[in-house]
This record gives sequence, structure tokens and C-alpha cells, in this order.
Amino acid sequence: MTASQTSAAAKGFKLGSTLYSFTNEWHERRYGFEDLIAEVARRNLGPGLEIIGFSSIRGFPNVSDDFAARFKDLMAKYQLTPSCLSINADMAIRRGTMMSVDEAVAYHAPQIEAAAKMGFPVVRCQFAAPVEVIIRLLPLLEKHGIKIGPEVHAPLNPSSPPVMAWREAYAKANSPLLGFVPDFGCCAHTLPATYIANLRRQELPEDLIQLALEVWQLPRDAGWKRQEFARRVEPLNADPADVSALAVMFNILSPGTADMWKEIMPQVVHVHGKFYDFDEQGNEASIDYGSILPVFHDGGFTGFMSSEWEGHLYMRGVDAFDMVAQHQALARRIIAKHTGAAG
Amino acid sequence: MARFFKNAFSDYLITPEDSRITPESLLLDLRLPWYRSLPLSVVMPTQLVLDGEPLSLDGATVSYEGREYTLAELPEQVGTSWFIQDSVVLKVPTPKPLAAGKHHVLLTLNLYPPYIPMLTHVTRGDAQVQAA
Repeated sequence: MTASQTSAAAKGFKLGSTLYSFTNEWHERRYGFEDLIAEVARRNLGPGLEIIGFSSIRGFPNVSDDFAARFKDLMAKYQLTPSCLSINADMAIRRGTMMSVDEAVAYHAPQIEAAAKMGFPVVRCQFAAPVEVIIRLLPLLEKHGIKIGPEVHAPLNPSSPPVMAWREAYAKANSPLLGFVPDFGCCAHTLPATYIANLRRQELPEDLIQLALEVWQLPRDAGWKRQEFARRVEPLNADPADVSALAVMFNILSPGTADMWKEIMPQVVHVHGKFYDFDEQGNEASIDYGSILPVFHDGGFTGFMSSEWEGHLYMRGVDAFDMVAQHQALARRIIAKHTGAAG
Repeated sequence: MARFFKNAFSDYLITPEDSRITPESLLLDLRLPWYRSLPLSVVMPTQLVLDGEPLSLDGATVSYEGREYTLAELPEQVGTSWFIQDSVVLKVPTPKPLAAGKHHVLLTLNLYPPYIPMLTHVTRGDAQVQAA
């Protein structure tokens, strides 16, 4: 986006969906790729549309000319806008070894080419690859005018050591294409009550649940929490499948505040509006959108926030499209109240 | 062990209606217990329990897109992605033909998500599968 386009854009960010929200519909083979896109449009859950390449596209990162053309036709037909392509840093694709920087550059490049071919202006990458990989890809990003950012996802926050390493490298590279993708799962004040209730419904042992919840509260990264949890459950001779099921909580939500995003606000290229469940007032049950969204509005973010429902992890028989609609209604309500008060 | 634990991304690890039992082996239709396609290199069946008794995975194979891989060959398959909407077929030889009727199968599958180094994600699923 050029400077003139930026200044011409209306203040405020735009809404959209990521197809990740519809994981159950997709996983259960109830919808095809085009069906999902059509339903997003029919329910007015755009205009932004984000997809995960390795989730939605068979053969990714190879994208045929026909597939790319068809995708662009669908975007035009349904008046949707490609917002972000989520790509992956599969550094440990060979178990027990990590890709070299050269290999990682070669692994990322076709994924960025796929984004360009399909018309995505932003790519979400991952911290698993060192920032050097992304700096090396800058000429390719510049060729296509594509912005990139790793997802600042639970349990990270903008000041976590891995994020600081990227911020320092970005300061040296000094390119407007280099940014971050905040995920609001790291602004949680609690785990959703329905999530914990589901753990109990699955008949996971109560002593393991309690240990996991204790470790969740600790202000440490997910790898540390997984290890600490494993250490604490070791004397209990726990089933590894139970341990894995519980350790998921360390990677999906972590405690954080709205204000922490101000540090990287000018570098935000896309947002994942993570959510799980709503309370009786229609507020997100574990993430305080009322304090978060005004920070992004006032901070001048004008890109897309993808509504990213992850309740599909444990909820069944719930209409994900309806959950996204509720999330977008919540966002509109908060921004209307905020701007009304400000204006 | 008999407790059925639903994995996070699918109610089924083994799809009962698409699995079957031949005189020589179990043919289990598996759904990927993850939200994105993963290379076969990070997928590994680790334990199988048939009617309450362990059944060795020696000689087991995984078939996908017309190719059949031994379990030992799986870690090399970095270029083959298991697409979310596809099943793979896990074939496990049985020492002798199983009696006609339904048999309980409990499978443990490990995933090593390649963008989360060091993570081993263990999932388990069961199914009643019909022997002809």
C-alpha cells in the first residue's frame, strides 16, 4: 500500500473472516473450499478473507494458474477481499533436525509466490523460522509488494525475547513491508469456562486438570509450560494422550493486556481476532475486546481483523458462521461506542 | 485405556464406516487429527489395541494417494502432504483371521507439528470395525 492510499483510507480497521474459523465444517468434509467462501459471503462475514495455505489448498504451496484465476473470480463474484495468506515455517519437517536458513528461505519462497498469485497483500509467517529467513526474502516481498509478519500468538507478547529479536532485526532492515500479526489469544484474562468444562466432560483426570490450570497461570512461554507440566505430572504416571490434550491450553491462550500492543502498533500488518465463546451480554468470555479494539482504532491500524473462532477445538454442533457473526457484531458495537464517545 | 478421547480437530481418528477387516489385516481409515495438512514425515502410528489386547504394528503400512509406505519410510516423506479432507489407510496385519462381527480398535497416533519444534502431540481414537 502506498503512502497516499494509506492517508486516503478511512480511519479504522476492517473486518473479515479466516477460514480457520470453519475448521469443523471443513474437517468434517461438509463444505468444499468454494462452498465455504460462498457461505462467508452469504452471511456477510467479509469483506476480508484470510486462508491458511496448508489447510485450504490441496498441493500447497503449488497453486495452479487455473486455481488462482478461479480464486480471483470468486473474490470478485462475492465482493470479498483477500486479506492475508497464512503460511508455515515447517523448520522441523525432518524429525530431529532443523532446516538451515537456506532451506527455510527455499521453503518460504513458493508460499510467498502463492500469495502473490492469488492476490493476497499480506502474509502471516511464524517465529519458528529465524528472522534472518524473512530478511533474506525481502527482495521477493518487494517484487510483489507483499507485507509479512509473524503471528504474535499465545504465549508470546510484543516484549517476549523472540519478538524482541525480530523487532531489532526489523529496525536494521527498515522496510515498511516487515511487520507483525497480533493474535488476541495472548490477551486472555482466563480460560473459557466452557473449555474447562469440556476437559471435565472428556473425563480427563481432575488432578491433571488442576496441575495444568496452575501451570497456565505462570508467566512463562509455552515450551517451558509444557515441560513444567510434564515434570509435575511425571510422578502421576499420566497417559501421554491426556498430557497432550491438556498441554494444548498453553498454546491457545495466555494472559496479557490491551496496552501491550502499542509498542508495535505501527508495524501491525494484520490482526487475528481470536475468540472462543461469549457471555450473556455478547462479550467474549475470556478476551476483553472492549479494551483491545479501541487501542487498535486509536493506534491507526487500518488493515483487516480476521474473526478467528477457535471454539471449534472443543465445541460441536455450533454454527461457526453464527459465532463469527456475533464476533463481528461485538466489534462493531465496541467501535461505535468508542467513536461515539470520542466524537 | 478404553476411555475414548476425542482429539481436538475431529471426532474421529478412525472412521468406522470406511474401515474394514480382511482375513489378513485391519484396514483403518484415518482422519488427520490436526487443522492443516501435514507432511507424512511428522505422522506416526505408535500403538494399537485390538479387543483389549495389544496388536503389533510390525509390518503395518500407510497408504495415501496410491502409494504405500512402511512406518519406517514415513519420516522420509517430507514432500507428501496429508490433505485435511483426505483419509489415509493404515493397514495392520493380523496373525490370524478375526471372527466375524464387530471388533474394537484403539489407535494411538503421534504428530510432530513441524512448525512447533520439540512438540509431540499424542492423540488416540477408537472405533468398532466390522469383520466380514
